[in-house]
Amino acid sequence: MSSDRRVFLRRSAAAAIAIGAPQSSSPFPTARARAFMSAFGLKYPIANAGMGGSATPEPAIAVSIAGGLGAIGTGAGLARTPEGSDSAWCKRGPGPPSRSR
Amino acid sequence: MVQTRAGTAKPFALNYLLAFAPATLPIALDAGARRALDLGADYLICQGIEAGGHVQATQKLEEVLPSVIEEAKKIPVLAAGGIASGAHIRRALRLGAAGVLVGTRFVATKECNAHDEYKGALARAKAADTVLTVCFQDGWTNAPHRVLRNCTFAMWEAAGCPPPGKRPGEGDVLTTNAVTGAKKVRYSASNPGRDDRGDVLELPLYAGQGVTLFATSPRRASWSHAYGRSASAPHEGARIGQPLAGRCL
Repeated sequence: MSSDRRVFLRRSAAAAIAIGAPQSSSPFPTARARAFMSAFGLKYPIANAGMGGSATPEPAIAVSIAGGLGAIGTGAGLARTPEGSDSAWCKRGPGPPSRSR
Repeated sequence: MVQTRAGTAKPFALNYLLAFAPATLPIALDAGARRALDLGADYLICQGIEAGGHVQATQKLEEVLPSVIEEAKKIPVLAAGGIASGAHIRRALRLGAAGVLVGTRFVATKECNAHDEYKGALARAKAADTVLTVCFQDGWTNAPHRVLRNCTFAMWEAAGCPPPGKRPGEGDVLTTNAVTGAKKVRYSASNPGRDDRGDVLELPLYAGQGVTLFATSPRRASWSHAYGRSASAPHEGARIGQPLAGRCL
């Protein structure tokens, strides 16, 4: 291994450590976001709005599977899935991943 | 888990006492947030006036958020209203929010039950195409909401924003659901769903001010592709705000 290559590797490793190190000035995500995520078992501090008519089980499941907090709108019952009621659909889940993505 | 708005928190809290965790949507900071906290909410949602759909906020998110967070103390506060990008999320978290609530951006996804034409309209819209109004109030009287300007709104505005009973085109049946047969009339608060057929773009197209960013959003491709294939997409290329007027006047 040439000395240039060794220097390059050493510098790269130092840079990687520097990037991975927590930034003391402003950690991200914030402590509040981390607490919220751990309390609700989330990967991301993102929830979908419970929009009547639009927030049916399908987006709620997709958001939850992706690691966010899924929600179903109360008016969403207006738009029942053809397969049956919302609750039956929730129990069955979104089916194969290709359908939910 | 139950998520509700401050005005209806009490019945929910009583019905679901101990079984569920209610969270509330603060209406006005002092009344809403405090009442929600008194009822034992596990988290709060702080809405800014940028939000789409039904809007209870009277201030911009950045103005109201810090005071709600201060009031909530250790209870997590989710920020809502116009959030559609990573930069928005970052800014909300930096202001002290525990997370964000995203609405309109999730409407413009494949999984959402909204009609494809509505999703397409969101992709083309800018924040300036949205308006905060009480135009679409049938089903939820006098509740302010933010929608894209469409021809129903244009007709109503041109007529001087008259109250129910005096509105132009009142009672027009706009869409029929292909599965259930349910009809939606002009000024209904119900937005166009996937199976609605007819003049879907004349129903309320709820949208927050974050819509401007959708056109450049990386996930647009997946559902706009589906939109392009849809047989019932006569409005492709139509711009919300102007040309639709020709269809209904």
